[in-house]
Amino acid sequence: MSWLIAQTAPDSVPGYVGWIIVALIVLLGLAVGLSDVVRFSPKRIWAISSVGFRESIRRRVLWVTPLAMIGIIAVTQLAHPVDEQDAIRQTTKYCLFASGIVVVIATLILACTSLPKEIDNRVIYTIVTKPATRLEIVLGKTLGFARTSALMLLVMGLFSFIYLKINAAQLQASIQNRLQTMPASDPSRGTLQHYADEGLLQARTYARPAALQVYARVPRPGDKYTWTVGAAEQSIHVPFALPEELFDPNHPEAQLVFNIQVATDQPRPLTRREIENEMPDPTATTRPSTQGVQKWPGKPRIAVSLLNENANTVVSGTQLMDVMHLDQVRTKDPSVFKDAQSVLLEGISGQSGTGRAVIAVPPKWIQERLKAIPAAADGTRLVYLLITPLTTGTQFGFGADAVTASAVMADASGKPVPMPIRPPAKDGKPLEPSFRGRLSSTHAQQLRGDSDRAEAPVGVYAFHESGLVAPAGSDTVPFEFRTKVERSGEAESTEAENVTNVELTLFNHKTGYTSPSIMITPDSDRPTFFKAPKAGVEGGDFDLYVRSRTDGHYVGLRTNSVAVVASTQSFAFNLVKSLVILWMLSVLVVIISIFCSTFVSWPIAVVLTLVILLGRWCVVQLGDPSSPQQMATDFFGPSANAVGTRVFTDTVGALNKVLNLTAKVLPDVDQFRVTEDIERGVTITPRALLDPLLVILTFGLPMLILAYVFLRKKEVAP
Amino acid sequence: MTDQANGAAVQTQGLTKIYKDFWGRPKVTALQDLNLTIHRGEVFGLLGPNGSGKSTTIKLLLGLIFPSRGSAHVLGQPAGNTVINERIGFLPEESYLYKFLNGEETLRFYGKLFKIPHKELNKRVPLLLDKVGLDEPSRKRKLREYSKGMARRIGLAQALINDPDLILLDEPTTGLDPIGTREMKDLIVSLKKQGKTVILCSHLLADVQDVCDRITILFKGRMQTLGEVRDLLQVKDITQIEARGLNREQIDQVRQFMSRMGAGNAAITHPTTTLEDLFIRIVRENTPMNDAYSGGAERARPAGGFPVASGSSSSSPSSSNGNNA
Repeated sequence: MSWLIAQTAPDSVPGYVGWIIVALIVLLGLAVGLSDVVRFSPKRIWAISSVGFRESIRRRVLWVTPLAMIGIIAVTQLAHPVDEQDAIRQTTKYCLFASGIVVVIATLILACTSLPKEIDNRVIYTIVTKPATRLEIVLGKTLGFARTSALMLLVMGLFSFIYLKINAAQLQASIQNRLQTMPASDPSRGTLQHYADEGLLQARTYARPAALQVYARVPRPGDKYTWTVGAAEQSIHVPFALPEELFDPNHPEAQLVFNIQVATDQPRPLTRREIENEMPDPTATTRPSTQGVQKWPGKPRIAVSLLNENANTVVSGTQLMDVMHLDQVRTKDPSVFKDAQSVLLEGISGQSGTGRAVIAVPPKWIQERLKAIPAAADGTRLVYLLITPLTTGTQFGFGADAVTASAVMADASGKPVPMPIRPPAKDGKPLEPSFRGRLSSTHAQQLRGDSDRAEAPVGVYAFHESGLVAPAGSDTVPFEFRTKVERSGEAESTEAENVTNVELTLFNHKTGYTSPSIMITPDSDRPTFFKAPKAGVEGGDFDLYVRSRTDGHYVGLRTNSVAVVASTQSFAFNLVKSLVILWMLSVLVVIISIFCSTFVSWPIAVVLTLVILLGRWCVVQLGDPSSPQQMATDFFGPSANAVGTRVFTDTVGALNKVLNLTAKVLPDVDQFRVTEDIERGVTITPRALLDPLLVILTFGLPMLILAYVFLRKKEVAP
Repeated sequence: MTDQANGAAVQTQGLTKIYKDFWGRPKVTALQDLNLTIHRGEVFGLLGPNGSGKSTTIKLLLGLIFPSRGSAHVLGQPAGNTVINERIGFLPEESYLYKFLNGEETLRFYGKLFKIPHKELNKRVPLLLDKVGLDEPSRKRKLREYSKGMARRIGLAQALINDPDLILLDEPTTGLDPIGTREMKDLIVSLKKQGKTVILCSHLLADVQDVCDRITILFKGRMQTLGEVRDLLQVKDITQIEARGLNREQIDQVRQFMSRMGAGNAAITHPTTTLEDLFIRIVRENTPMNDAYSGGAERARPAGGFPVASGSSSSSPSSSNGNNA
């Protein structure tokens, strides 16, 4: 059956199919039990739920909570936190994790065993022979175990709160002691002072930046060019909406041509480090001396490729054509041409000027690669032209119309006619090019450190938070900065050089105010708090400039690396929200358990419930097989039997389809994010509460209806 | 629904239940073509050995299982309809109740399922507990601590919590002591006096004989006999004469006279057999020779352990003075 589904099911199931299934199940429920819906009585449901609740309590289910508490205390004592904040973070995580495990397992067992046991010991005889409908029985049982889990969470929540408060008080005292003995110049003083002032148990609401761009220098209004640095440290992504006509089968000859105009500036000779980095010689055993050598940068070059919306390469530089230098390749093979991996900008003489490059996408890749990109409603396909400046010691400037594109197609007479391609629009505004730093292994944009401020690249975070209000009675606004610091091999390993200095400056667009530089020394992957002048953020439309000021230290930036602490909330309230999410998870467990127990025995119901709960997560963890063909080659070798390989690849492909389809109809437990925010001291947003509720509505409700339908049709007398 | 169905407490037509295996193939025919009408206000006995189909009949009437064929109406509504459950009381074979609740909590829970107002429950619960003979300390004890007799009593109380029109009692006297059994029988009689319909399913035939207006005997899923207890137990081919104040000489003369003609003031009736004898005769008549119920296995306990009494299957006069005709 699943084979058949896999063979016939489309690769991508439209989103509305899920809603249709939900609607069908609701209709089925109404068709089967409209009379029961009409007779629906909350009083009876409450009575049935009270019995389920009382049963749980009298089966001493609450006795597991002291065990969980002892476990939390034991694990906390054995943990080795890095600092006070880490200690609180870990304790919060253990408390919520233990609460979740205890509640989920208890409700799973209670709900899975309840109905089968009542049918087995025939207590159900005295329930279904009363006016209680089977709908009320299903709802009553669900509510009963939901009440049980709520009580367990209340107990665990109270314990967690008290335990965390005691821990926080002890750690706070430790912070005060450290601050008294710590030198004023200590880099971690700012963050410690923040914890001392604000406390360790916090729930902060952050205002996050709208965008992050990385430049060679800060762009100012009225600047003709926006500058990036070479050496493949930065790049520019220029969006284009490729028109439908480009993919017209009647125009197989259609080409896509990009015209690139770049200003370049080579203001100084290469530094020693730049020369060393520029002269890699794989055969050399020693590096040539660079002492006393003065060398100017080479001619400006760029690399070009095409990306899709998810920043994956669609047409690589080797597949693109460097139109202005086609004569450099002397061959009669028409398929060989000068590619766009290293394109010399033409028209520049001297140390600065404006150069030009023309890049074409051959028709083959338009039809094979670009056509495969999903089209928007208007038929256009979104691509990004990625331009990476390559030349070391050179700055590349991009003006407003630095990159233009045109589709070149033959008219009726066969003459090629260019058709300009416009940038795509979003919300009525054209999409702007984005300037990015080189991606690190952790997918953060690298910002090279330089002790010379003029040479240090800058990351610009743009904030558009009109509702941002600075704390009353304070001239400063707290910021959080979290980054991954990478040190290059050349960096000295002295104590002083191990510290990464980061310079931060605020620029207020509304008032034109520029703040004094704020120096911080962030730890890698740890939050660092700093305070910035209130004048820098007033009005909410401001930029934060980030520079790494330590040579050889790369700071990895993400859009969410910086945030303004917009407001704080009570930790207790945040804990309650976390417990509510856990409670919703337990409700989902109860619903699935009751559904399973309507048609299988309780041990199988327990297993089936776990499979349903974790199925989607497991499929996501498995991921897509890289390629069935590749797997077949890995298993059987390149000279394997063709029929056997075909059977293998078909089977793996079909299995993958089945798994993906199955995962799509299973609940997404990732939506129940319990610890993620609270352990970082971040306010849990209403969205984080809404997402699990949606899972319950879209998955739990149909399950509940199916449980009712099954029970309605079930003969409860064994 | 027919007019007849409206007037009857229970009416079944061709009611059949076939249990099937996993693959849907017929496995056991538990009940076959049961056509039965139980009138409102009567005490009706449902008899039969183990596996005869009486529990299946009860389960079908209560909607615990669904018929394979035929139909069943209870109080004018299709069986299993939760609406009519408002007017039904059911005492199962054993007290299938929540063991972790105490007596009072149990009654309150079932009362809430009938949406009986809180104030009314406050009155009704102690009254019912008194009625079934559960004293104050017993009411606060968990059901798991109850003796079998106490469990029957609380089971009966839950069956009566809604003041039902139709009461189904499955082996109501099981586990009760003689006084309890007597009280149960008195209760059934009082329920009948209140105009309630009682369906009684019991193995204790003497109890059934004492309280039932009509009975049916089921065997192997089929109805074997149906009628009023008095009619079914009469031995029609024997005439019994009863007279008061006769001495031995006069009795001889009566005999002589009776041999010639007849006599005034003489009670002439058919003697009655016991329900037990009737039951065994029906079971034997419908059992093949090699079955455990037949021949020399009179004192044997057949499958299911139903006790088969000794003695002839012929009539056994119930006359107290031993003056057999």
